[in-house]
Amino acid sequence: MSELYNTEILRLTTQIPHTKRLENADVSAVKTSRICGSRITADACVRDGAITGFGQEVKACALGQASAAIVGEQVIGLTEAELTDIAARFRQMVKTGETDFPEKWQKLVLLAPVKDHPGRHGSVVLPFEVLEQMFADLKADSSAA
Amino acid sequence: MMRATDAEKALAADIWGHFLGERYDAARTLLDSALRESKHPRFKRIEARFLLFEGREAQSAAILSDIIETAWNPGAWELALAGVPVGRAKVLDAHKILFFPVRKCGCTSVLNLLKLIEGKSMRGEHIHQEDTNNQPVRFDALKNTYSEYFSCALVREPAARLMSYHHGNIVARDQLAVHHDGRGEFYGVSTRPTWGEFLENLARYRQVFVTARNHTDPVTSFLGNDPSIYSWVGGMNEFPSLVARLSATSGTELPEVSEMRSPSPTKDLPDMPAELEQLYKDDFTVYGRYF
Repeated sequence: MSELYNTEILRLTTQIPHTKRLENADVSAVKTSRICGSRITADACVRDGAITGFGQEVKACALGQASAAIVGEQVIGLTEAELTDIAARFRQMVKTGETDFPEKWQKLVLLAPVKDHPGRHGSVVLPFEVLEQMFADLKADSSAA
Repeated sequence: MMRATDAEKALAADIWGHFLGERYDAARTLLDSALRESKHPRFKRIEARFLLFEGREAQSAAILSDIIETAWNPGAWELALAGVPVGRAKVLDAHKILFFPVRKCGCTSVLNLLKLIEGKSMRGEHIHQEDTNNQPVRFDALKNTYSEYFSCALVREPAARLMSYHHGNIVARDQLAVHHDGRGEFYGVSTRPTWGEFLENLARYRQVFVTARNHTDPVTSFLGNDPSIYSWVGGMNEFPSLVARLSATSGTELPEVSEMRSPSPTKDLPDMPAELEQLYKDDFTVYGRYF
């Protein structure tokens, strides 16, 4: 199935994990897509460089919700290095349609049809941007300390 | 009002056919071509519906606010999303009665009583097949055009409305499935969600199923933000009082209609999640005294 709004993607919109915001997070971030207004607010607890707790509020279009659902499934244990790698592969897929993911991230392939819809790119990369912001903020905090 | 040509009507039917058949990309492609070829507002309304389905509510609202004033018989969700000061009311000119039905607030019962006042038979749940008989009414018209009318509405606490909708419409009447040929899913979204699944994914249910949106839109979207414009507003426990007023206003003896209430939820009312509190914030502020 190659359609943009295929059933698998739409099913994911009601399977977003970690939808409860964290009260004692180490870091929080908000990212908004300038193109479509989609917004994700997220909190994380991080130990030894890996995410151990995560909460997110996703106010996004269906594609942004689906992307948040897939990323959310793999977010516990995520390190900055893995995030950087997967985000780069994801952006490459969104731009070119080329898919190359490790097995546990294979679901991201569902979003490959977004390549032909540049107006929707902003919302599908939002979950990655919010995580990148978190790791950047943590790094800034630790270097300031 | 611009009348649709037969070709435009057929095209719109094809678009809906694809959408309801879960061929969304085909529906969207056909709609895009219709928008290029036709200026008819019905295609803009379909576009607004599709943008809502895609979760792009702000864009959907922007389209609706541009066309809603000239649209034919706009639906409750369209009026609400467009943010215009217009509700839908059952108007009985002969008796000078104006009733604004709010879903899950006793509206089935009252609409059936209004049938009796009109000298017709009650229709039970089938009364909602006549929703097009309710007409758009500007809220400010209550102060002029309808100033002599008895204008009324029943309201209810948001969590009770949500629970009544899930328990009565989704579970007991299986409405989401029935509306989609008995399918267990519509575009991957369950038509038979548990209470927890429904509550957790309410935002998505309100995008995918227009009927869910109509039943869960805030009271303020049906009635506006000023209860003082109505002759009578009350909570569900005031139902007998409303029946008495309708009876006195119309000179019609009215029966008890408790059999038309939705099956009652057995659970205690839930705590409202923070996101839903935001959705219904104005309901508590404006109509909270009646809950």
